[in-house]
Amino acid sequence: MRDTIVGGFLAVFLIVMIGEYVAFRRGLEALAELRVAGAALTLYFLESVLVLVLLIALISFIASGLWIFYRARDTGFLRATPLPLWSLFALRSSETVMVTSWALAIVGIPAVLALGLTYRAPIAFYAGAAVVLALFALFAAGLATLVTTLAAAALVRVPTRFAVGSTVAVLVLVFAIVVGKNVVPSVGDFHTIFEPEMLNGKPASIKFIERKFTWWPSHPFAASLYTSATGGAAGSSATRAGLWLLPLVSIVLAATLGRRLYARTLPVVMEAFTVLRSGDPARVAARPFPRRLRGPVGALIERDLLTLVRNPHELSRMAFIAFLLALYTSFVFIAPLREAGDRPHALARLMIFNVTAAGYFLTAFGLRFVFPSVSLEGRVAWIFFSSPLRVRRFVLAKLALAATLLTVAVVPIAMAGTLRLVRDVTLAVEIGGLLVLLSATTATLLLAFGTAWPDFRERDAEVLGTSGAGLASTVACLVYVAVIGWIAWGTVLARTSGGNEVPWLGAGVAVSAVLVAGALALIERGIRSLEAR
Amino acid sequence: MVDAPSLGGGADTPLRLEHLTKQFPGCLAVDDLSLTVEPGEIYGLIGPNGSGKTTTVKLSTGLYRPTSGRVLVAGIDLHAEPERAKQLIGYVPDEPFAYERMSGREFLHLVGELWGVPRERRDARIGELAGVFRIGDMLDGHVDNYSRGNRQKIALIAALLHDPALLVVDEPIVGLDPESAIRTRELLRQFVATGGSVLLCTHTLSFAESVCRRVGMLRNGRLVVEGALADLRGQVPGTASLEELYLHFAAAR
Repeated sequence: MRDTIVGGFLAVFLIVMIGEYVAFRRGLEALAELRVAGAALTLYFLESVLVLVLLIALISFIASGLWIFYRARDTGFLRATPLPLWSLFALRSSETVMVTSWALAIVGIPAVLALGLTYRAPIAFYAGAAVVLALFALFAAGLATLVTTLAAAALVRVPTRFAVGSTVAVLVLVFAIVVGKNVVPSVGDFHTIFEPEMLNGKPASIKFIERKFTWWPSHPFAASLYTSATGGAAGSSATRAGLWLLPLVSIVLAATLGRRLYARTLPVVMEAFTVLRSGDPARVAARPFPRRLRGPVGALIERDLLTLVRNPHELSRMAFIAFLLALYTSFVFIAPLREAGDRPHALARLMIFNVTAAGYFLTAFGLRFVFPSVSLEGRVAWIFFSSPLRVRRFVLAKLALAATLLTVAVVPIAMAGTLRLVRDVTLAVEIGGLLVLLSATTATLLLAFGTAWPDFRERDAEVLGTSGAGLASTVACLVYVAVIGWIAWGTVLARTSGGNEVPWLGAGVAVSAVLVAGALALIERGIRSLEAR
Repeated sequence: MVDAPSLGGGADTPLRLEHLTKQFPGCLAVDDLSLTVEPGEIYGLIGPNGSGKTTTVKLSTGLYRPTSGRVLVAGIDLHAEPERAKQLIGYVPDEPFAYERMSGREFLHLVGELWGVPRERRDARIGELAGVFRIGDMLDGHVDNYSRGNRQKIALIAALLHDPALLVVDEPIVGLDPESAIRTRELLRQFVATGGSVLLCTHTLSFAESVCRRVGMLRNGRLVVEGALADLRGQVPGTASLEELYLHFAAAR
């Protein structure tokens, strides 16, 4: 069973990577046909991909690392063994790298493959690219370890939830602003990139991009990949030295400064959570509960929200997905989407991107916070199973809350993207309707799988999300998202070419209705068989 | 302080298990078990590990659904009318897990809300019961900082908050300091003295001996012996303590 689940996840990742490869390959081939501007846009693409991978890896590492390094459950046990602190530090670094390096594999590998095959690069390119990606991974791991230990040392006296929440929030905000200003291309950038001028034997567009990304530490890696794949010149001798020096310096700093900070901070954090003093931040004001909502279901919903807000691990996960959402929002508002609105096929393709991106965020949020919500009642489930509460009311209230929160978090941003693309009010309303359907159906599907196959013994939402039921719900949601993306594409094409879009919309409503009805039946079945195991 | 409410007119036995069976995949945990807990009685359920005690307790509180048989709480079928029946039960689990990112006070208010206890009444009861267990100064700290004993106290307070007619208690004194164990014993005695009833499941035979009027011994999910302590002693001449009785019946079957 476990092998099947692992195999299933590998298959899902493989499908996602193949999809990315196809999209990258088609995009790079289209760019290659633009000759000088195409070469510059290829470099821009590589710079952007590596910046995003670096930032995703950093946020993900720090959000998980602050927990894994200092609050992992087995820390007390391991500190009681003769294991040297240096080994524990190395163990925690490796554990965090393992759970946060997925971005490089999932985005980096398809991008490099697409680059090599588009420019018909020799086999040596792939070996060189593997070395560059490995150096990049080392650099990211060293830098992230250093930032994690610095943040922990600076915030050692504050509650972990505040340390994780504030660190991730600051990074997300700074990264979103910097990426919005510096990475997402503006109309002005495109004008410069399409300038055919040469400066000192190098296209002005390449020089412009080099200048734009000079201070990004991912620049040496992007320039190296570009040069070895296309044969074009990018970067300077300093850039080439940076390719080796950056990983070396980051690993040395992590192993020296990071380790010392860890050795100094860990005992303080451990003691803070074993000794409760009066006035300790872990105490809360003596006030009744619930404060906002009323009745048994209201109290449980308020408890869900309260424990979420007080859980640093959950908050950091939420902040990470919010970071991706912020990047997407930056793209929606800065990229020149209006220009695409005049071409129906381009508009329809961008609408697929818009709707499927919304679907991805809905699935990611939902898999983390909606799917596990019944299981996470966990070993405390004895409270509501032994209480006179109707479980059906409780689960349906969870559904209403989940659907509302997912809609509020994602749909307005996807609608902003729609309004940037579409001038036709009717079409915008129709796409808005599809987005609301997408949100409500995704929430219902995820809660249904979580209710039908709960695991009250597991306390980790990530582990629950990677269970068999988690895998099944992920696949179901992604297939549904793809179908709605396709329906949005058909709706846009039919509407802009004077055809009839109603059958497309009808299909969207019918598919969603069937899935919601099935999911509600599954919830009903789950409620009837729920037991506090 | 721990008055139990009346079961109401027409109510019969506080807890009656009728031919209760619970089959898990590959394991028959409870096998055709019938027993009753009488008004004003503390009934002790004892037995070796894996004998079905905790499963019986979970069936008696609605955490598990029986494969067959019935659980009647004051004559109300627990699985036909769970809301009505559960309103009468207070449950202390073997592992007193509570929501770790809530304070003890918030957790108790949540429990009170689930059982429909008005806020003023909750405030009064929480203060009163926290005084009994001397846990008042811990109540506003997060539960994840509590020792096992303090979590046990929170679970006991939670079970008593809504003035249940029947307490179902699984290992009530594990992790408690001796003073708190004594207070728990007094609390249970006082509870039954005011009309409440208790189904007590424990490995601590000295505790069972000090509070139980009758005991039942489970083995492989079946009730192998049941009766008042004095009667059981009569069946086995020369045994003085429950511990000796336990060893006798455990060896005999």
